Amino acid sequence: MKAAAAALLLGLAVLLMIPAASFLYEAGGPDACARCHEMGAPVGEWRHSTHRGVPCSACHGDALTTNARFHLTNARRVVQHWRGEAGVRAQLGPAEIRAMLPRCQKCHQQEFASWSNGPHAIAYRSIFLDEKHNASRHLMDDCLRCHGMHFDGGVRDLVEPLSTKGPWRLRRAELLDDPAIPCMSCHSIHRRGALHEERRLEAKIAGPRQEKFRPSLAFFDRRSMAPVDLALLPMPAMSDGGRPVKMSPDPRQALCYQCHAPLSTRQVFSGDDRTPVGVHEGISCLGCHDKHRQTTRASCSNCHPRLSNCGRDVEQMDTTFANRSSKHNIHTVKCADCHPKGIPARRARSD
Amino acid sequence: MAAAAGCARRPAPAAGYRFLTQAEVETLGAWVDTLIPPDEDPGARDAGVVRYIDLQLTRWFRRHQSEYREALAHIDRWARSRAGRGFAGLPLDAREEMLSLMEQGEADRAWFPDGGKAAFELVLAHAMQGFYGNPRHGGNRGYASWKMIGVPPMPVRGREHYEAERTFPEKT
Repeated sequence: MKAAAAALLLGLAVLLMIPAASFLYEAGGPDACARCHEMGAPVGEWRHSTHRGVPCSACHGDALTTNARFHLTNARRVVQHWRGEAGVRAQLGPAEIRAMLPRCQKCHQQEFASWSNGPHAIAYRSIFLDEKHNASRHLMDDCLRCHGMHFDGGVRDLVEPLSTKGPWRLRRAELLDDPAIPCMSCHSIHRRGALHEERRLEAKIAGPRQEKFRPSLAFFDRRSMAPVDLALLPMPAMSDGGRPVKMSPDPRQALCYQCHAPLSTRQVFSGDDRTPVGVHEGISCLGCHDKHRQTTRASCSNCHPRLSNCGRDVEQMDTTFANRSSKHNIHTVKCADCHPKGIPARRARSD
Repeated sequence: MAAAAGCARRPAPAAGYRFLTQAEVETLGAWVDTLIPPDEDPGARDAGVVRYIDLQLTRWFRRHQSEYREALAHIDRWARSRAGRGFAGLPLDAREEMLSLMEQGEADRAWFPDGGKAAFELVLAHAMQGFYGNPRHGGNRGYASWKMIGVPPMPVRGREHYEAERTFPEKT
């Protein structure tokens, strides 16, 4: 009996050691976090980041976090650290990425709501258990480059069977409803920049001092296991047949091109490319697509009818904007598509 | 106890490093900077090669720990015997001369019994890995070498969209 009680007490003590160690570790603040080699770089980046006003624990959890996996992961990291097996920097796995989403939402409610209602909030289930896709194409590790980029394994660790004959199932069932393209796919939380609070009065900031885009924009690279800054992402030089396509100078597009990418021929509409040609050539993706929802419904009126050659209601024209089955894709529509006999002379403006 | 004794025997690493001492960091920095010197682009030291080697010496290169410790101590002593200064304090041409001798296996055999060839090749191989490899391994800081040779960190790589007919019905 005494032995059982002693064992129970010992077990409890061991269990409590993990949160107790967390308390001790966190008591020193960010400096305590940075004591470990693998935490030095992220903490250093955080000090200059847009999130430097947010304590580590707000995003990464603390001793009071009621998630056993969180504490076990930390315990595993401590063991790795002491055995000298820790990597260059601590990485977040899919479970930690999922846990961070409500923390993003807490401050970025509007952005979160827009993203949640858009195509980029698609779940692992919809991507990797898509019967139409899986029956016609083999799943491969490269799928994870754009979908589930934070997944800590290869595609064979995620889906089985890896063949065109189903039924398919996720080997990690807990990921079924997790977003495959979470906030951290396109945003680097530790990226250098102005505090969010300082932007509350951004309407009063003079134009030349305003941000062109959030400094957090970065694409999460699975190979590097790190976000790649927007400035380092290339913009492809696109061609339409032999003709070079006029590209928008908007640097934010480089993020879109990472996944909505052309094939190596760099031909427009090859692969998953959507570079506009025709009447919309030279317009940025974000000229029409809302950045988080990707919706386009209100975008036409940003430019039309003032920039319309014919002064017609462009939303009613025979394009895929008005009707998805139209043969005039909004990305490719040309004047000649509707004026096969020649383009009429521009009407004189009355204003 | 044994672990504590092991820790006690190991010299204290330089601040922010895992294995190399401050003196070793300086010597290795001079060594790799002689192999890949800075010009309009960062050299090996600025690209984080020393950090890469230091990190990997506690991981995949653990078996090379004693070779590094020995090679860095010996090249420093050899430099002192030749020029009265440590290797890190020598000008670039003097360092180049010493490393060239090592490359040919003609270093002072009092310090390098094989003429220094093995140590030269070990550091060269690791310097190349740290300079040109993926930054996730601790080197190639800020994609320095990839920028230099014009390789984008994330090349645009498209794949055929299986639902192309839905987006571009005219393609199908």
